[in-house]
Amino acid sequence: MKSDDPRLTAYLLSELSPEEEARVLAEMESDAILASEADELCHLAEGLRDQLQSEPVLGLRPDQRAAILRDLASAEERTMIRSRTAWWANWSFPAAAAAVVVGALATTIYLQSRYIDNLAAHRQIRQSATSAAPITFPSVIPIGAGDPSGSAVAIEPVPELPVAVPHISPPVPLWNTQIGLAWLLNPPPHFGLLPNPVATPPVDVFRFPTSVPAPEGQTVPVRSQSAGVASRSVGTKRGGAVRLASVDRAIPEYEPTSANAPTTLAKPAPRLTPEEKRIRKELKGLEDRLASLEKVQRRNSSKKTDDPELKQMIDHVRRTLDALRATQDGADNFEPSETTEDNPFLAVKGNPLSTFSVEVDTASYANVRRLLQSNQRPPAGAVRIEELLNYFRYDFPDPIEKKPFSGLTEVASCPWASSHWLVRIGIKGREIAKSERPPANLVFLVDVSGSMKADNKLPLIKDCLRVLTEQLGPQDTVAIAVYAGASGCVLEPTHDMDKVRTVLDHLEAGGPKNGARGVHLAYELAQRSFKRGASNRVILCTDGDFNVGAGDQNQLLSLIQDKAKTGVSLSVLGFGFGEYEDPILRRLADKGNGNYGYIDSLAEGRRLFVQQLTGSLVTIARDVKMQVEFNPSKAAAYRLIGYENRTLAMEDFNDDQEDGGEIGAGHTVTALYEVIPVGQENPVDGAVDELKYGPHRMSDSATSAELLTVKVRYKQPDTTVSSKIEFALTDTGATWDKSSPDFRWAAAVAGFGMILRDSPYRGSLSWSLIDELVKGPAGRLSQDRNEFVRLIEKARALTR
Amino acid sequence: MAATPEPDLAALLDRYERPLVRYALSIVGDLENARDVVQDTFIRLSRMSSRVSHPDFPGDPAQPPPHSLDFNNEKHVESWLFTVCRHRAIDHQRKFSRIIPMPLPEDHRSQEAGPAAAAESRDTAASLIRLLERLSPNQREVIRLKFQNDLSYQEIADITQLSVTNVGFILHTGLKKLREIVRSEPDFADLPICRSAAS
Repeated sequence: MKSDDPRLTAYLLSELSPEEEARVLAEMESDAILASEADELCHLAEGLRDQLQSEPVLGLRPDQRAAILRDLASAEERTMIRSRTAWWANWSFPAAAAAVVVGALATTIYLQSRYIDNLAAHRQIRQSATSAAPITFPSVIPIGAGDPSGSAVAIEPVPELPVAVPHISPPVPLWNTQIGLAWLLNPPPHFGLLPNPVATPPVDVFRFPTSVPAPEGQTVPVRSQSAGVASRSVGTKRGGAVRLASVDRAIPEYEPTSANAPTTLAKPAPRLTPEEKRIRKELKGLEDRLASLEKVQRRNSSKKTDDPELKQMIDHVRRTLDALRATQDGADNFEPSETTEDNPFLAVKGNPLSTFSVEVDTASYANVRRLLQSNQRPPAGAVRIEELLNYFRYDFPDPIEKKPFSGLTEVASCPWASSHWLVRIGIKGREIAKSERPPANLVFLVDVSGSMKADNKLPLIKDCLRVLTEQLGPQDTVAIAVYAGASGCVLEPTHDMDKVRTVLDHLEAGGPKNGARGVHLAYELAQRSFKRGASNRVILCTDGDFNVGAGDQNQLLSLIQDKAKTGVSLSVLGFGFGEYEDPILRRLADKGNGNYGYIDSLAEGRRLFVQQLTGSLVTIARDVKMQVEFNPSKAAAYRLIGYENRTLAMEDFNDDQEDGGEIGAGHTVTALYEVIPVGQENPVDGAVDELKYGPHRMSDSATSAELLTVKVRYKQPDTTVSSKIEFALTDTGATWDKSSPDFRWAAAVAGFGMILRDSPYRGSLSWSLIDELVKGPAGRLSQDRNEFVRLIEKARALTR
Repeated sequence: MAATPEPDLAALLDRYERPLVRYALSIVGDLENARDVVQDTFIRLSRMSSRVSHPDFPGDPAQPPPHSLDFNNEKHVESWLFTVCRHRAIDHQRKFSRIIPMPLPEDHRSQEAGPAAAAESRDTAASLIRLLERLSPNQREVIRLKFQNDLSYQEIADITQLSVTNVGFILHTGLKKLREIVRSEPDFADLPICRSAAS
């Protein structure tokens, strides 16, 4: 064994199995260099432990603690009310007495070592063997492992409270103690005489997190309990006060009840991310291991040969398993659970229909832009190709009269796979001139919690909303609600835009977040000034961290869905988040029949609120879904590029209950399909055997030249029954260099996304191909497109 | 009360508030941000508890079953808290900075009045904590989790999403690198560690 073997450290920290530990000990015995290496690591580790555990640290601010306790109180209150228990009876009594000590207790510092490893034993034994002087690092605070009182004096202003023993005793890792003891009882000969094993304290009484209750009269473990009760009662009092004072008293308390638990939301079985799969696999492995160990144990116990090591091992596996389960459940709360895998090629024979819900959001583009501009490569999950495509304006024919939108299709050879076709399908919502815009009834719901202080958050929100108010007039109403720990209405619905701007100017950030309450209040305000035929809309502005638990999240989503049915939609604007946005924001906007945008600059705000004002405010078609039927005599396989999280089952297309996307005035939707023609080699060929009895006899249309038919289903904003329009596409045999500039542009944008996502379908895609695609014929590019050309350069540099 | 005991979340707050702030601080490098992260972590814990503690509340079928966080097992809770805190901290830090300024312990010491701070400022030169800054971020993090919070390799692996072997390796190389730094540091020159190296 060499000195750079990690087992050396693992041995010192008691992380080795007994067998391995014995092996390391044997090696140390014969190898003096190794032994002295272990000594040094041991000294260093002890020094680190002493210093790190006595590192001064502050806790939360009092207002933060109060907010958490308030949240605890209201969470408990909710559950208590449900279980109809007089919960306060348990609390009120100790409050007064405990409140006296809470101030002092709050300064108690966590410094007790709970983990017992070989460090102390190693030091003791080696000291006696080499008779070296005790070694201490010039630590700033003299704190010995076995000297808790001394350390308490140094840091702890209340020295009479000796130790913070955990309130909930963890299962004791007896394992380590026993190995330590085994060590002392059976020392390897190399280490010579032992010091008195009774006098050496590798197992310190105070450090030992015993699960046995402390003997009576001993004051040690009371601290966390009393502090807990004390601070909780303080929190309750404050929470009550805030609730009384704030506006949301008038709003019915948001009560998640099982009665309105959404059933529709639970429908699709979520696809697992590779990480989730890994964890599940690991869980399975551990469960199996535990089962087999327990089997051995049962067999042993029947023979009355109890093996303590086996028991420890079982305990260890059980703890590991528990910890893994805990992290997995934790992970479910905060990991974006959406799939990031590209849509695969599908055989037309088995899947002639491709169905998805349209998407007009552009948030991903703004986010990718921001990341690239700050020289960060966006993670694959942040690059949603459909949102990149929809960011740009494309030329469209005028809509057919009375239809809410126009559509177009185009096909040419695929730039990155010359034997394939690339099909572009576009629809565009009818433009509405600003002068013809119906009145708007808007509620700005602004997150003013502490995290919003940054320049690219609240200050930018204020600027953007001011820009919006400049576009509004006396026919429109605006109300402003804010939320932090509590929510409040800062401006009742008004037509006076000057007043709106004045109030905006005075918004300031501070405090914790409670987004759910804000949403309730905002809907209440929107309802108060609801106008039929107007754009009734809540505009939520936040930094992406909505801070609601998973359970509440679903309650919130179903509330938003209900409100959307009453005609109040919810648009969500994200400000200043990292590359990992909270996926809940997009889901809120989806359920709320609104748009989801990301605003990284005032320019983006102007784009949304000035250039595309009517698109942002006026919905011209709801629940828009697209279904493409491929002709099996032309196409062998196809792949939808992007829209990974928007695909629907084919039956959903005609199901008016199934939610689709909303299209605002002037919004465009672009979808690209990479199609493998019949007769070309394709990856899904032979995946399924030819059907003996079918498919059904090909209809006459199959022999037509049509490659595919596009069907679009939509609802007029004020109806609940959908209409359908259809248009077909025939292959013209064009190569991509003869295609329209918009076609090449869309191909370039998709290619850009595929490279950033490192798509397995990128084929011969390269940055130079993308250059060629965007170069196009002479003619000036729009501002948006020029910016994209610059982003390509950034991305090229980052992906090299 | 009901058969399931109410998890004493206030006690958990008291118990883990400071370790978590310290941990978050080592990632985000700013006390206020670290506090925000920890507040957020506890709010999430509270949401978990309102879901977990009442088996008669079925919740949403799409969500993980309520046994997810066993409040009676502090190891669960501890692991959960550190994992969530870490995730929030990294997330937070990604949002705010491209360059990671590592926290100098001095940064927040000035705010801590009292004997501890006074003792600190007398002799920070030789502090091992200061030398930790010269290690790589993951070495620092693993060392902190191990020696500051006394977590096992497995727990550290769970929290950091590394494998157990990896944790052992990072910890070992981190310690060895730190020892080299200690040796090169004049303030530590007369330590036995250096003597034994010389012999």
